[in-house]
Amino acid sequence: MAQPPTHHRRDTISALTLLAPAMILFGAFILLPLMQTFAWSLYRYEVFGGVKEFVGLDNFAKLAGDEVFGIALINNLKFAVLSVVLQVGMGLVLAALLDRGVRRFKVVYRTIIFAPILVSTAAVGLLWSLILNPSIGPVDDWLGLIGLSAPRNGLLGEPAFAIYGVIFVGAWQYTGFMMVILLAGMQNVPEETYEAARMDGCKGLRAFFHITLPTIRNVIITCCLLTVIGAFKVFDLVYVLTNGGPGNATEVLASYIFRNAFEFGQIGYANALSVVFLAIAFVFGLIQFRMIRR
Amino acid sequence: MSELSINGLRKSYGATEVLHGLDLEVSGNEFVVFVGPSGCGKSTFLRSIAGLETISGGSMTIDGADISGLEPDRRGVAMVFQNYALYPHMTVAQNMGFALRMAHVPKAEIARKVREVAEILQLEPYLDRRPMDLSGGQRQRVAIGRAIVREPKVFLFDEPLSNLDADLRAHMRLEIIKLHRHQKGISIYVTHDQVEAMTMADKIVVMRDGNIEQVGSPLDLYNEPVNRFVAGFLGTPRMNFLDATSTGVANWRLGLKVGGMTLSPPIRPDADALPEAGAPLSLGVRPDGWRIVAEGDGLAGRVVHAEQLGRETVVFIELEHGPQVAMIQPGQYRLHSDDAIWLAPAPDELHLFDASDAALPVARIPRTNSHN
Repeated sequence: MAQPPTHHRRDTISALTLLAPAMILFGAFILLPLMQTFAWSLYRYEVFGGVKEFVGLDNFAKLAGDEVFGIALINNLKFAVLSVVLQVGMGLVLAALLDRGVRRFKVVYRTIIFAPILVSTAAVGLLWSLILNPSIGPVDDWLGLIGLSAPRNGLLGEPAFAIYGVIFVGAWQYTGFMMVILLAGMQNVPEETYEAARMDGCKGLRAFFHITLPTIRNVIITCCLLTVIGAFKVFDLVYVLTNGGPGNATEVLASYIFRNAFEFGQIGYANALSVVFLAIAFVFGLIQFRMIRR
Repeated sequence: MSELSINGLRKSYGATEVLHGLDLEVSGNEFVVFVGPSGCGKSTFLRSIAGLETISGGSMTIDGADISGLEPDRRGVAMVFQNYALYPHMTVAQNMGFALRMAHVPKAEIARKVREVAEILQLEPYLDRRPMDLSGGQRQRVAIGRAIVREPKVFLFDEPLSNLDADLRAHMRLEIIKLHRHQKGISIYVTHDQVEAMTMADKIVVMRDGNIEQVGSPLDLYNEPVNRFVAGFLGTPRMNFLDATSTGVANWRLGLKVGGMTLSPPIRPDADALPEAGAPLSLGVRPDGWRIVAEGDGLAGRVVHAEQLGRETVVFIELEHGPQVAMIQPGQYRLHSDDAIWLAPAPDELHLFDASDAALPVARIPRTNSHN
């Protein structure tokens, strides 16, 4: 004779029923592609030649000697470091000014500085490629005003400068976003804390370094990590502004993966690059988790 | 011995003046409590002394030196805030020593002073903890410790106990008083809780609408309030007020008609302007100033509710020809809702206020008992 289900069994069935839709979606769109990426990274899988053979860790060995991969990785690192300095640094300065410096029209300034994030990255890329274009852009004239001249092929046409141009455009778009997050953190610092600091002889810049910065430490860490992760997965801005050029000067990991998969048809190698990419993201995630828990 | 002198202090926000020329003298080791309803300006007054508000007029001196234009840290004052205002990223020791660090005091000296104060406040076991790891009472002690470390001439407390539960509040009241006696300086304490004011103060400053209504010792204010506001503000339950009419002065006694009852309280010999016959007055009777009398001898009423507190009974009575009043009777009175009751004010417990709410000089027997 069948036993009536116990409360515990009924609870388990209810929980599984409720979790099932999310689990199915997670499995189908995240877990399976992830496993497939790991699996295909072990194959020489070329779409155009119809080749698909198991090669073990050969793709990873090839990756170690790939000069363009090195350029892309260094560009991503430059992107990460300079973006933290520009986006989080400038964001901090602007947030501090709006939080305690500026007294009037705060909302107007905040809206103007935040606005670039509302524009799609493709549009931002097109806009700045026109601005930085040596033939039709105004940058030459602007630089002329302060006695400087732009590189002959424009900022984005010079291999030595192009990546910095892309980083600058990225900072232009995202600094306002960082400022809003940091400003929200600063506005959570109670006014009484600043008043107590004033009583203790700490105000202005001293209060910024002794009170504001340490109090919003976790917000700053989160902003840094968001910026670093954003810098490692940057693709659209590079694609629209330089398409990785001139040469491979502005190649980044995401654009190199894209190029290998969809232009060169080397699916196996692109997957191996993706695995390395994932490992880097995982390390940064771990760092963030550790730092915030401290 | 410090001395704080405030003369004609004014504070305005735009065109709105919130403090209207306040004068106050505090000397020696007085514990002064600013008390008043929300929005009366007591916190603004305190913050003006602290230097956290820029004053619009008047002057303040500590030991003769003008502090009106000085930065808060240069005034010789320290403040304990309502929400503690501890620095969340610093340890207890760092919080307590922060002002000294800002003043570039050598590290060893900071450590010595912090240890000394931590010992007084029994905070030694918590010196390496962060504020988030402490209870409310411990945080409050750290906030007090942070103030003491600076060795100020004037301690300012802005409703420091309002976030604590009733038991801890009573305990901390005593702790603060003991500390005040130990530290020897002026303490100024802001509260809206008149029990705190009565139990802690050497001197109470009652404020209303940006003005000081009365300054004096707790018992002076309780026994001789200068107006109806002060009389109603101090005491729990608050003083009862009944409409009365003067029937004129005869033989140094003021004739009064209250409901169906007549009274003739004695007038103080120093009384100058006295109400004429027919003048409307307000009779004030504290809850413990009522006596239960025989039927027909006083004011008739019905019991609304009796709170049996064991040591005393608080009875709320709806008067037949008047408002609801509160009466406190010592001991345990078995009264029930709707019981008929007759009551009259004890002759030496009357307070009288004229039409402008100013107290009239009624003679009363002092309540104070002295020991020995």
